[in-house]
Amino acid sequence: MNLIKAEILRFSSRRFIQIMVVMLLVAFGLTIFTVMASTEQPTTEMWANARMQAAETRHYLENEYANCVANLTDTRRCADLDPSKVVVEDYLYGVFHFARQIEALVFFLGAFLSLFGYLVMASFIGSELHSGGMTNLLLWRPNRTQVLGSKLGVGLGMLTAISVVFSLIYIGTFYGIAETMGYAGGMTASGWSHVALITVRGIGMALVAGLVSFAVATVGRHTAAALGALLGYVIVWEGGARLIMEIASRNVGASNDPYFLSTYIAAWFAGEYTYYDYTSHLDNGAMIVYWWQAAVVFGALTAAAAAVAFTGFRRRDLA
Amino acid sequence: MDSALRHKVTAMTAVIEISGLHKTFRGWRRGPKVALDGFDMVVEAGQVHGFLGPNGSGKTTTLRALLGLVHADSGDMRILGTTSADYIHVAHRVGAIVESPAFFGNLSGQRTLELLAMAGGVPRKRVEETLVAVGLRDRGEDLVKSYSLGMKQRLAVASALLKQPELLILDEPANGLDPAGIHEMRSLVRELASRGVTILISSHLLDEIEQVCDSMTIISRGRRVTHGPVAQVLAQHDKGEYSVRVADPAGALEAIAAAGGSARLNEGKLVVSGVTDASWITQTLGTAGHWLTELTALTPDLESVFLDVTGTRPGNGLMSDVDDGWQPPAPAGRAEIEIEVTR
Ligand SMILES: Nc1ncnc2c1ncn2[C@@H]1O[C@H](COP(=O)(O)OP(=O)(O)OP(=O)(O)O)[C@@H](O)[C@H]1O
Ligand SMILES: [Mg+2]
Repeated sequence: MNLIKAEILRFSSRRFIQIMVVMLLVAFGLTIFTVMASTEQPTTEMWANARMQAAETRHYLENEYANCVANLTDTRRCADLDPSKVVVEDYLYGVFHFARQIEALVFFLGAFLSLFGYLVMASFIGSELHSGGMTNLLLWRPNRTQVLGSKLGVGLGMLTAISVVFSLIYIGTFYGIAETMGYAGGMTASGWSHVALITVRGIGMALVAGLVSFAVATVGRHTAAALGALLGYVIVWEGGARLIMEIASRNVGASNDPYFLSTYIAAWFAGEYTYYDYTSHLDNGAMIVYWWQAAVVFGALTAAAAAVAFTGFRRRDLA
Repeated sequence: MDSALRHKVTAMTAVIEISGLHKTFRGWRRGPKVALDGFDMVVEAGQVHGFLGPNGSGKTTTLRALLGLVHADSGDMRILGTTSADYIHVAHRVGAIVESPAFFGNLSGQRTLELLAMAGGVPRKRVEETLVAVGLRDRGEDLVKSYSLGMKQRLAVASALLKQPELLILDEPANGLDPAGIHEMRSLVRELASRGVTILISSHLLDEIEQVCDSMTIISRGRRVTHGPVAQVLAQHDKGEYSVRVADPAGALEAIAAAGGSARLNEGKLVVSGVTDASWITQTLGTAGHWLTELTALTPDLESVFLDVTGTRPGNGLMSDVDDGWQPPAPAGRAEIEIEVTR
């Protein structure tokens, strides 16, 4: 208990973490600023215009849709042309439309929080190991598993708390902007629960990122190890290996997407991710990765990372 | 005292007992490095025990192993009556600084101590007390990165004192301290010792060790070369030399030689060696008509003992290389320890 209290205090006293919180606020401020700069409250004239354009589009789509349904066996592909999906609010230009735009903004939030989690967790353990602060603590509390565990627990707990508070402020602010300077209508209960769901997924992603970076920094004994691993992964694997796999691939049309974390990140945020593997004859080669599959991948990744970090830390000689 | 009995007594009151400790660091670039090669040490309760050895001889490694920071390859360690596996249960009774610990620069000294105190369940008012005790009362709220070397060292000492330990392990505590700081450190050690705290100090300041320690262990290349009460160690290395001032040193030299003694001239004085009783010199020289104006026993100081037993006495004016010191033969078995104890 004392250990946890001390770790919470340590977390909040750390300069780097304070700076990162400020950076998060700055990024958040910039997003708000951009949105505010490009929105205005819709006038009656704008509404009239929008209704007119929506009606025109609907009229045009009716024919197209009928054609499409008549000619294609897989009518799912005609969904984009469905005239009943035309919404008047979509034709309000220069207006911040909460219901339509919040999803992308929450994805942004998730990305911010994940990066924040990655950096903060790496530094929380990394600089402690590097500076010798950890050694000092171990002179007081020699149970290494307990010490590392409390640090990880407190880090993830603080990360969750910060993420939740931030998300609430973030979404609340955008709703406020929509109410006062844009259009806040059209939010249904299911719309809200979707926003809640993707927010939770964003926070989940931040925790996964935090845990992985904590583990890498523990093994590498340095904050920079986690940053290096991230850069290395992105450049060597997501970039280089993807390119080589594509060049070297004998099966024309085969997809390497399942080998890349980015696929699962996309699936996790969007709920599902479709890639095309034309060597497969199922469903025209469309392969879907669902969010729960991504969850399994992340679960395995974090479990492995934590296991390596904890066993390594228990055995290691500390300077 | 009978050897077996004495060994038993020591064992009963020992706060630290190390025997046959081995540690090899395995580096993947330079290959393995043997840091401890069958090291033994006993520190008895209530003692101030000096831990001496050349650079790289394994002092810090020993202390790290004791404190559970490095894992020894083999050997036995007992600290405050528990094995190293149970060290967790006695850690709160042990205060330690190991090799000028680094603290986080962006926290204040006070904050650093508060966080440790909290983690260790020590009341917060101890923080203030220890800051005062190490002379950092007015600088406690400054960031650690703004501290001078000696101030950081004082903070380190404070962190070791914070939990009011029964056993204090100090690795080069005087590192970077100014003369006043060293003086205060000496008083602090004496005061703690008078309150019954057992203290193990590793240091290169031999004068300090000689002044404050009751007993000591000297390590060289991972093995113990000498140990015992300070006075006893010095006496063991007493070569029975006396410095004699006479009007005619050359004549006196002949007189000693004629009487079967050995002597040499040194800076206008006569140095007589291998003497058990000083009166032999007075008598021999007096009979030969040389009248002594001065007779001084040349008791060895810790420095000369240290340089001799570790084989690091400087020779040709070059710095001797670390790891070039003398290494005693490996103890054949545990029996030899007993013999050493009685010596
Ligand atoms: N982490 C490590 N990795 C590899 N070798 C090490 C490590 N720590 C210590 N050593 C080696 O072990 C030997 C003993 O080092 P140690 O730090 O115990 O010496 P010391 O007696 O404390 O010396 P000093 O008086 O310089 O502080 C040295 O040869 C050192 O190079
Ligand atoms: Mg050392």
